[in-house]
Amino acid sequence: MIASLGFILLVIALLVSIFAIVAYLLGIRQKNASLMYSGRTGVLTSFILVTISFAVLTIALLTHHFEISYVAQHTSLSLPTPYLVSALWAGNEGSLFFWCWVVAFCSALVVLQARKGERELVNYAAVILSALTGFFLVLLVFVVNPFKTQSIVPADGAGLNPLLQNPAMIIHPPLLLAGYAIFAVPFAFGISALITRRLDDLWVGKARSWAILGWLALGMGNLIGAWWAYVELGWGGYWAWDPVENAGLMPWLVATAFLHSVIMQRRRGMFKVLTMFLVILTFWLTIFGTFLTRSNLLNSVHTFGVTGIEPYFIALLVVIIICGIWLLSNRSKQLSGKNQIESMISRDGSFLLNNLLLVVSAGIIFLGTMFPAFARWFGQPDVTVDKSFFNMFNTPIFIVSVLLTGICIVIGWKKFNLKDFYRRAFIPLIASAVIVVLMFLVGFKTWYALIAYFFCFFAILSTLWQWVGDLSWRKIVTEEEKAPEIKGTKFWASKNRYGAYIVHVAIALISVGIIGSSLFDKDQTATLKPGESTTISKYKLTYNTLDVTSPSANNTVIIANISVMKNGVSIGKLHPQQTYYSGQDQTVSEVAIRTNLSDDLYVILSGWDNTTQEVNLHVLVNPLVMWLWIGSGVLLLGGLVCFWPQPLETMNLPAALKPKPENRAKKLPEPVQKQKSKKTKYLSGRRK
Amino acid sequence: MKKNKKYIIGGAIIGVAIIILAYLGLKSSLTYYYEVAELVAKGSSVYDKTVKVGGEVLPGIEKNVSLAEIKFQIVDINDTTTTINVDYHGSQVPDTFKEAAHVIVEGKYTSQGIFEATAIITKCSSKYIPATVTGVTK
Repeated sequence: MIASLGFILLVIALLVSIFAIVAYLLGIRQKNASLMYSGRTGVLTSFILVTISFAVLTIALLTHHFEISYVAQHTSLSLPTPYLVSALWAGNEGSLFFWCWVVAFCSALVVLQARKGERELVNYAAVILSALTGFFLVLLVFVVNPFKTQSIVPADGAGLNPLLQNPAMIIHPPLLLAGYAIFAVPFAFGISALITRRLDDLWVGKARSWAILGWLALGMGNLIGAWWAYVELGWGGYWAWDPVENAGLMPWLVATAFLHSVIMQRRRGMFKVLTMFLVILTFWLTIFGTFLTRSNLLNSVHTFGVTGIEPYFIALLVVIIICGIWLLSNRSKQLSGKNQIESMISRDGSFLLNNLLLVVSAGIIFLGTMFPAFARWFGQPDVTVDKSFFNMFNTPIFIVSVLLTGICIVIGWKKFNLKDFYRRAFIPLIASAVIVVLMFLVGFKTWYALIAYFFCFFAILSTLWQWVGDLSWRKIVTEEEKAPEIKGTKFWASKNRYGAYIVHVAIALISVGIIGSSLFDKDQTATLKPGESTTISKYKLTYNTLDVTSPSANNTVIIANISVMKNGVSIGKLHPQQTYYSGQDQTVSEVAIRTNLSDDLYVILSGWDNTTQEVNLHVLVNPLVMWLWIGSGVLLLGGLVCFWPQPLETMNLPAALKPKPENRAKKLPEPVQKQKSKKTKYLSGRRK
Repeated sequence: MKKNKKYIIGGAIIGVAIIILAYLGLKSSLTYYYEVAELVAKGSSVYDKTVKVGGEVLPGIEKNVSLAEIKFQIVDINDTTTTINVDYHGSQVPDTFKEAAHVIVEGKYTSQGIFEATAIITKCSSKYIPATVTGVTK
């Protein structure tokens, strides 16, 4: 009953989406505004239907409708409520459903937010977004129906994999999926701009805020996933270059390049082709990532099984490439920029170089990820690509990117100006050098780590120095910087700039963590009898006792009691443990982590013997990991500042759209306008 | 206009060059992957080379805590008559390692017919769907 309701809603939503596409296209062709308005209604209706259907699945999960296969496969009666909800995106059907819902939601917001003068652009964007919603609805209706029922209703469901029963797993998948799905909007605006030949800054402005939201969701999704792997999976690391991780990283890298390219286009009127190319590539990679996690293409540790959706995704990927290339080449004349890059040693140059590096990095990750599949297609023996490949090529790129983060702040737009450079860079350079020399004297002797840290400190300090300069004396800002976008030094007035500063500091902090934990980690295994101890770096761990308890009938907990000394001083106890779930016949390690700003002591109980009381411990010291998580928090803050809607008064709008506070009171009471219905207002606002 | 194009084309060439370099560098980072039966059929040609082998864990996992060692057998997924013995020394055993689990072991196959593993990777049929599901739905 509830299953048929949900399914029928999906079918109707699909029909409504098709209607919306047809109505929009006919309306555009016949210049018929009421048809376009019907299309808009269609988009909104489709969103409402998908939402209700999604709510139906949620209710089915919460009320244990085990006649629905999806509910039976991913939940059980004993599962806590938050995980019942998280089951919505725990499986293939549910996660595609969530994707679909996010696209439908974004489409509805896009048509609702359309202002006068943007309708032409929005109409085509709505067509593209409806087509995408339709694509996912086709999958849900014909291939991976989340409401599929089974004739034999089990008494209890299979439950959720205990590894996934972690708070991070409630927010990590939807953030990643939402990040993927949101990039549909910048893509739709880009393609719409190409079709309508409105290649000015309008589409870029509309696409930018959506791209920031998607970028932030994807970035935080990846970072939370890394954090989950670190605290839950118990192998001591946070990133393994697994295909599924790579699938989430590639679009994020290209989206970062896109956001920088947007700044280039808006401020300097350059690189319009590049901006367009990057938005198409980002979206292509999000679809590719969604596909990769659901195909049998690769032997990843975490893909869904065979699902039959491959041909649909391959078709979509091909369509995006062909349409993208065709439109780009066809409109290349209109895309030529009005300005030229004057010198590579300028902020323009640093942006361009940074974008190049980001795309190349994504290309290398793509190559490494897909190589096993390529090899198989060409009849080569099965191979796997080691982590060393990704590290070897991405590390230098990553370090140069961090350096560019510092450099772009201290050099001006257009041309290199030694005086400006000196004013902005001198103090940060000296300060970073002093810190690095101090590190060397204290005992850091690894030269490449010192260089990398010099870049990180320089990036952080030059950004903060510029900020201090902005706040305290205006001299640091040069003539050319007084572009219309930067009106004053007030934080919210130029929040995009300060948001970017915060993000840049965050990236440098994250780099500090990554460099420290990947170059200086220590790793040791030990087999200990009660009372014995092992030493790693400045820590001494003494194993005391083994406790075995059974908190409930279907799980057993084994805990090792370990006391820790640091430099000879007792600093407390650690309790690495293993929980055995008899229901799933699975053990889950609970690592013990003692964290502080300088390093993490990370202890895994990897084996134990009940009779001899011996234990195997895997002990790691991961320096500076905390900075990775601190940087993540700062990244979230900076991203939100960039995304936050700008106060209208400070926006750089065309004069006509600007609110005039002194005239506002007089202008508002216009009886004619007030009486207009929503629909006529829409029609009158339409461009001829 | 021309200058911008020059930079973009120049950049693209550099980018492609780096990716080609990466492709060439890829060769040294490759590890060959075999199913159990393939490995056994290869015989002496794969002895003492680092490879990955995929198979299913047979019942009878021997854990020796004082030596930090695990011994088990894996069987080819398609050909259930071919098995190899695996010795693993170390302490990074994934949580999902158990009987009947699909695993990939990385290490060297020795002339004694024992696979000296340096890493065990479990391959869940899915990250999201526990193995027991198939039992429920059928």
